Amino acid sequence: MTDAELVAEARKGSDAAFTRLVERHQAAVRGFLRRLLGGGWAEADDVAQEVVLTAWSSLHRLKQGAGFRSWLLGIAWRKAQDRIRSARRGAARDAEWLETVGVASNLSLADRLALAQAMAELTPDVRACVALCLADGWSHAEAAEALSLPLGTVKSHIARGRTRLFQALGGTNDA
Amino acid sequence: MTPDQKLEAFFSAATPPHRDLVFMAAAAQKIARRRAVLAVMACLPWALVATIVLWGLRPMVEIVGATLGELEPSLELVGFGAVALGLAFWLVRRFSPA
Repeated sequence: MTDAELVAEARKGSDAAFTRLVERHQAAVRGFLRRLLGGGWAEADDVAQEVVLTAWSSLHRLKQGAGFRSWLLGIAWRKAQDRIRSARRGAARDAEWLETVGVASNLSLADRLALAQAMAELTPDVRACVALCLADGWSHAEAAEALSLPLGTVKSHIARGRTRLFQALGGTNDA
Repeated sequence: MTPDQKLEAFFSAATPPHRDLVFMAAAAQKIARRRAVLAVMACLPWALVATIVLWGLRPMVEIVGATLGELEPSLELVGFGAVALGLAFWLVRRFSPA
């Protein structure tokens, strides 16, 4: 079944359809939040559960069922912004970002820490664009829709983020 | 490793599994809790209306009560029985799978 069909079923009250939608998109939401918030999986999953709850209670507001993924990521983006604003800030958050960064295979500790540091230094907007487009392979247009940002802004954010990450690895952005 | 490969390896460390039953269960639990709260909230207006109606009918009930004073214990029993029966039917329908 497509997302649009599942959304239609969920709107009629089908819990199974909504569960299928969540199952289909949970990885994207959690990965996005994990990369955006830093912190551990616990915080990302906590926000992700709030995202699912909000989606469940406001599913009737979704205009096009086919856009469920972008809509869900939009909710995740707003929740993450709230969390960033209200919870730990600045240096404390960045420090936690460094402490809890995941163990990447085939990547040296120095590179991992350098990339984590670079991610922590990006602004939330830039980090969100990097998380969606560079990490998850979203198109610029999809990211712009999900994050409610102009397409040009998304492109410049990605270019800036990419340059910063490549600099962290000791190279230049030749893409 | 090229810088692109390093970036890919770094980002893949923060990629959750495609299926995660623990997360799904936690999300379902939150939804169930919210649904329970909403169900209780939905009953509140009816409880308020019932209270107002009963308060309005109080003089009439007193008159009827004085008239049917001797039958009061029997009527109470019938009344409670009807309410309990109605509640049981409602609960059975409410919690039956659709």
